Amino acid sequence: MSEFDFLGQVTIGQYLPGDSPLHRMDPRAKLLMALAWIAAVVACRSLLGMALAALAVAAGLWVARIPARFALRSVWRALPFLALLAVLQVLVMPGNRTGAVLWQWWIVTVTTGGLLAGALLVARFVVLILAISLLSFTTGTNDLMHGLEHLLRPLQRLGLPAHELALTFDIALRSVPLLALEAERLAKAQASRGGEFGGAKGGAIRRVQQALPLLVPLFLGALQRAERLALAMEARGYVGGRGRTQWVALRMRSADYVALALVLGIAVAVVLV
Amino acid sequence: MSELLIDVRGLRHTYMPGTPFASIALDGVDFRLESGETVGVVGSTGAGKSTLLQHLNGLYRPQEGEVHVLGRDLRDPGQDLREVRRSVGLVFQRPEQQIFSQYVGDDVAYGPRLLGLAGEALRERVRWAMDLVGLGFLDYKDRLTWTLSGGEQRKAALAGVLALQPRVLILDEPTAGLDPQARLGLLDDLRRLRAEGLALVVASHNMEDIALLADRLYVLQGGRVALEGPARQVLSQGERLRALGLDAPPVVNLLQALRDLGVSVGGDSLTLDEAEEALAAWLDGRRSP
Amino acid sequence: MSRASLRPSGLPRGPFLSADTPLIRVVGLTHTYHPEGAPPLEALRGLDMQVCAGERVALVGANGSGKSTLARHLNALLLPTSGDVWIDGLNTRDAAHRRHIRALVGMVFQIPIDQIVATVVEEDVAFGPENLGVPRAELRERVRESLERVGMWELRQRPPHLLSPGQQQRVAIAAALAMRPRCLVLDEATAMLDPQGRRELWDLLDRLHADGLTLLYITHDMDDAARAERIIALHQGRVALDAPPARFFGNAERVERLGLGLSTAAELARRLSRRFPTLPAPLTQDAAGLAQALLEWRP
Repeated sequence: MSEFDFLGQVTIGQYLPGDSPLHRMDPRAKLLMALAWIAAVVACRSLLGMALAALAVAAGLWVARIPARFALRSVWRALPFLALLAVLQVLVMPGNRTGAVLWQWWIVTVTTGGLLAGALLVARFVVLILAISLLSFTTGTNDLMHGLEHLLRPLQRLGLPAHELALTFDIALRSVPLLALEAERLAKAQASRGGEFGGAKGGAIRRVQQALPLLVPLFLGALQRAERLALAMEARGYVGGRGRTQWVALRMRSADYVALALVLGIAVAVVLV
Repeated sequence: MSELLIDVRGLRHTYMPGTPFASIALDGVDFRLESGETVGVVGSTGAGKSTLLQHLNGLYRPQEGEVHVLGRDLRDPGQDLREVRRSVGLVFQRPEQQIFSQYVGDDVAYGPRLLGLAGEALRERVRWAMDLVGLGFLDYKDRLTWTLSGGEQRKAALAGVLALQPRVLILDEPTAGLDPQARLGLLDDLRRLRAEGLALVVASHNMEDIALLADRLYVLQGGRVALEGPARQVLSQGERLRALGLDAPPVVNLLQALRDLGVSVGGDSLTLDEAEEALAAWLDGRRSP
Repeated sequence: MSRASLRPSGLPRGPFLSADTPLIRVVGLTHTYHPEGAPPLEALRGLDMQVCAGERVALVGANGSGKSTLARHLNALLLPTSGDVWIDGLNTRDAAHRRHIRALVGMVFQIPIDQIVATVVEEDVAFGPENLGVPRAELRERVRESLERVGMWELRQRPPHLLSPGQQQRVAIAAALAMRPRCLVLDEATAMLDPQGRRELWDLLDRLHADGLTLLYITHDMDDAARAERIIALHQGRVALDAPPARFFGNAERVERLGLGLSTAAELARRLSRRFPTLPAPLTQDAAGLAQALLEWRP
């Protein structure tokens, strides 16, 4: 794959159109499911529970017909960072020094408790990344926004600007692939000026150095785009959420309630096991 | 004595291969550029122009097919693509969006500095490049880039690429977004560069620009070459071009309309100057009864 | 905002209403920008202008002449520093009428994708009427109507960023049409389109104009300007020239002093008349007028 193929490497926020049961589900149900899921995975303390969670997410990916390689791509990117965290957990964190001691050297103590903590950490992140990816793969940012707005609507009476928040979230999520494309364009343009980008097989520091000149034009471009979009919205009479009607009507079906109940059940199981 | 600078055969390129978003951008393209000539590349949005251009300066290694640039084979994994990018300059659409230095002089110096130039040699190179595009070195080198007009920014970005002293200059939509005066200024600069022996590749929607600059022309559609040949020959085929989502230059269309209305002007004029001569000749022909 | 104040729009005015009640009336419009760390910039200096319903007007001018600034006043995106802008009798300073004015005058901008709000075509078209508080049943009707009018109904569920720029501009026009405007203002809307996109857009605009929509378009392309009924040229914040194309291009020196060029036909006519002084002036600045002048020439 070309070194400039940024878009292919960014999978969060990308929607994979399809016709699976997960795709067709009401976005509110999916959002609630995701929320419950995140809570469960964070609270889970046992490897068995984590294995159950991983299995459930894998099942979800299968039902939604997401190609495994595509789903794993976002995990792949995060792996170096995760490995680092896991190593820290195992070797350095004092709170994890439980269970049998396996190895000791200076201030570093490796215990079974430490290993467990490290494994749990990695598993937690992987499952979380996959779950959130699953949500965005099966739900267009559009539906996500509508789901979010409908969920927040009751809070509007308390003064919460539900529509504005949902719109902000939607535009932010939508911008991720657009920014990736723009960054790709900028990187190519700078490489064409003899820039180092893509040439040197450098270490991490080198790559950060290469990325720096991209930041200013990227930022400027994003700000300018934001201004143009805001102008267009105003031109069409946008003045915030009050007084607006809705094109989209969301309706929960019994299948949605069943799925929601199922996931909540599994979430509880994951925590308790 | 002309030299074959760029030789492309059977080039294929797919974006995001192996994903659900895969799309074929180039589907078997042949392309040649000889020294001293200006070649135009036209096609509607999505036809593959930008992808082709980005292969010509080594931004991409060919997935399938052959690309030889200035004697280097881009399929060779040992080939350092950075070298190719420094001898073939590619100016992107709206290059002013890629300026990232505060001062004009610094921005133009970015490329040559990476080539290892420093001190007086660097200054000279920057001065040379800025003169080429008509931005006086002393006047502009300390100007803030964001205070320049659109046309001036475009020239500054062009100078930044020229400062690498490439043998080939590739431009993607060079006059897009420029007001008429800035456009004419840039076209003059390009013609001057051409006169100095630089080989150019120009991709554009603006058929008038192509008519003014190109010796030869490739028309792309759906990732393939649909039409190619001497500019004069290709640009006079209005019907064919419109069927491919493009158009003939305004002058060609106007003369055709005149012919349809009974003004039997001859020739294959592409530009205003040529049309003027052709119509003058027609009027002269009506003098003698 | 009362529903009753939303008069039906998009239709030509009937014979009972005075033909010279302008849809757009600009009086003494001045607009001063205050950029940070720089002296104030007077973009418009006491500009006067009138556009009647159903007209087709090209707005031209060199960079910095104030064209875009003026355009943004026409739907209250900008408010005057001094002077007034009246849209269908409503003053743009009046906040109570703002939504209505923005419904009356729709705007289409230069960069197609940057003006599209939603991630699905039909939802973007619904965005405008949603802001107007149009009830859902009527929303559906308006969206369908507008998309069919621009020929994008079949692609209504597509994500806009996957469309061609020409298609995106048509969606933008549909989005404006869904608000039932009486006038469309286009700010260099064809600048980023390929020839086919431009052709399709002009076909659409021709149709809309024939149906009674008032068109005001900013352009740098003098051949596009020559297709208008009337060309208004701005120079340094004021109207410098306001005439139908034949008269506009008739005085080439004056046009050039304004930093503008001529249409292709007008440019050829000018050059030939220098070499052939008895060449009659073309009555229209297009192929037909030029052909007639050429055929009628006698040495």
